[in-house]
Amino acid sequence: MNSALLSVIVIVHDMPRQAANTLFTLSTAYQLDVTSQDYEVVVVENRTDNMLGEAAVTSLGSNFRYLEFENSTQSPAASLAYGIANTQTPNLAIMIDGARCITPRVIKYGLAAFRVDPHAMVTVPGYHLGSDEQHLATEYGEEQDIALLDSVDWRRDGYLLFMISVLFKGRHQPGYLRAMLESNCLFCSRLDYDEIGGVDLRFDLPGGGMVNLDLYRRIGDLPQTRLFVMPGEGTFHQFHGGVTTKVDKDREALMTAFKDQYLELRGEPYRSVEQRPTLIGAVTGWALPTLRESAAAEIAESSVS
Amino acid sequence: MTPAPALSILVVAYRMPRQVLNTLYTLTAKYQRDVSAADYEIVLVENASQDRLDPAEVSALAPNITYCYRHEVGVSPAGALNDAIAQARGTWVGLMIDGAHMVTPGLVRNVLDVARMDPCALTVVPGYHLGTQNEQAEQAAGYGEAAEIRLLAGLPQGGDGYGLFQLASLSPANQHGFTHPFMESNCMFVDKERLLQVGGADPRFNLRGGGMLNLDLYRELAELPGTNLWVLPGEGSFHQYHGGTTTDVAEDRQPLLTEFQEQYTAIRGKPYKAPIPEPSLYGEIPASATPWVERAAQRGIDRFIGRTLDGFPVWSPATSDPRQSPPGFSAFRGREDPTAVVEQIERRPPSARLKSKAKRAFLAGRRRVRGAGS
Repeated sequence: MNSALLSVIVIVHDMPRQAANTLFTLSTAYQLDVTSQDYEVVVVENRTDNMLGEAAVTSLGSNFRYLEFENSTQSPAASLAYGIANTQTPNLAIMIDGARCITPRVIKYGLAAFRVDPHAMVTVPGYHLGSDEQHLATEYGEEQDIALLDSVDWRRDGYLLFMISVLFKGRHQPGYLRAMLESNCLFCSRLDYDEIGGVDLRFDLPGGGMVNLDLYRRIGDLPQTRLFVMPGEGTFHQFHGGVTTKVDKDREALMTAFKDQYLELRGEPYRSVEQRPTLIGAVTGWALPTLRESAAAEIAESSVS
Repeated sequence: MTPAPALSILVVAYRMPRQVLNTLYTLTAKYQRDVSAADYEIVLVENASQDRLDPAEVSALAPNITYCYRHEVGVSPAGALNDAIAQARGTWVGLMIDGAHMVTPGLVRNVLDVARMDPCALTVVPGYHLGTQNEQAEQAAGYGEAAEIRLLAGLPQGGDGYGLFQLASLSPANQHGFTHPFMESNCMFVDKERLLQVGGADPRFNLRGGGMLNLDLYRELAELPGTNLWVLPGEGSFHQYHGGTTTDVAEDRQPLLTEFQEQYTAIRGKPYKAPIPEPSLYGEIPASATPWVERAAQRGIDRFIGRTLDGFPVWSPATSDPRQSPPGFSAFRGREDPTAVVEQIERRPPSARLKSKAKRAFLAGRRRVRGAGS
């Protein structure tokens, strides 16, 4: 495993069905133009009553490793730190929420970006399965998620995930021709990760609060990092009753608590990375609407500013 | 002699000193961003004419320009291009067979990036014409050198070069933008070994301006096994007016094009067809290019829907992997009613529905035609 250039760290907490799908999309049975020598997948599963287990992970390939972790907090931050501490490759891909499937050329383009620039920080646009963002979809749940995934042959052609999903826009999200607000599959070099001191364990709110956004911004603000985005790829969030991805009357209050914590820890409100991203990769017809939307958003922004 | 640079950009010139000086300026490290003159060289080969470049003006532009003036007995740039190829010291070469194309400031950096990333890359830059209509229409409407000089003078002083996007229209070689197959590219980059593998510029294309020489070269390179096509959507090459062989409104244009096509067929044994490898995108998108990106995305969606409904592959396989051949397109396979799939594409993202009445009529028409044929 020492020859691999990249470690993908996936955090799993109480979501065996979703994680099994996610991990399949990380395997060489699904990823294109890469081999098991190119990367490893390190799965950190928090100990709960509802676990995926080691066998389901290691059966996916010789490049899969499984680590069970006793996380006594409500945040995935410690699990992530533990996973990364157990890797040695020069580059990392951080997937803090194990419920996100990816498309078939994410690993290929992530590795390609590091060949361009050893300080690449690579992002992947985020989508939600379903016809609306999941925190807005009152009728959407586990059962609908399973039925939707069964409706297309995504294991054979991963780009079909676009067919059953919507772009996650969040608030004020102007598409990906400017830096996105965060990335749920975030590639960076180990050097850059170490330089910022790694994931900040003080983000201890449920789901980690803004820990993933914080990590993204701090790495992206380093003067040497170069931001990339894969316009034709995606991460696809499966329903799992996640902290901010389910319908919840308390969601607004929770988001406020997250922002307050960020402000307290960083002394200023969150903002995105201030770099224009470099696009990398092919764009199938499925992902062209997002490209069109991103260009339209940029045209609108430019005419305002 | 200085160490060999990574990249040699080859520019062929004939009877257009004003345009070539503009082109050369846009290729210098003064204008190109994040690169130095040591990273690349420019090899300029000019065919002799009464209206030649001033060598002193050329060498004053940059230290990394090699200028060669040669006599050509024929009427094709093939010999000049092959001379330039022979002189190129770089591992990678850029082919600009028509020296009248200005470029944008991220070109060299992005080309070098792709070269580091993919040793089998063929990197192409979308082509534009200066002026808001195609060049033939512009000229018919009185566009010429004087109008173009005024147009370029209107660019803000010290502007960044990306302002060219606002003065231009798409070249017929890629009239639907970068999501459709290119007919050719007047600014393409490949490693020298691959270029030599296809034999460089084929001198049998000996008609005026080379006939279909450049299209032939593009097709040969794009269809070479193992080649990966990369497109730089945020960069452009911009054709300046110079009374070129096919960019004129000359009355004999159509017979000339026919002659070119016949020569291509005679040499290759088949008519010319644009190659359709799946393009990958690379580079930043400057704000001034976003209208072109939006348009290309829309045209790409239309093509994706049209081709798949008609049962044609959208791209030739980009991968040897039988699981994905080509990626993303199996949604239509085995479906009795593909309109559900089309609607799904159009639905995403929800705020971006296509103009649908015309579209529905278009799709209904297609279904009728398909139904009648089966």
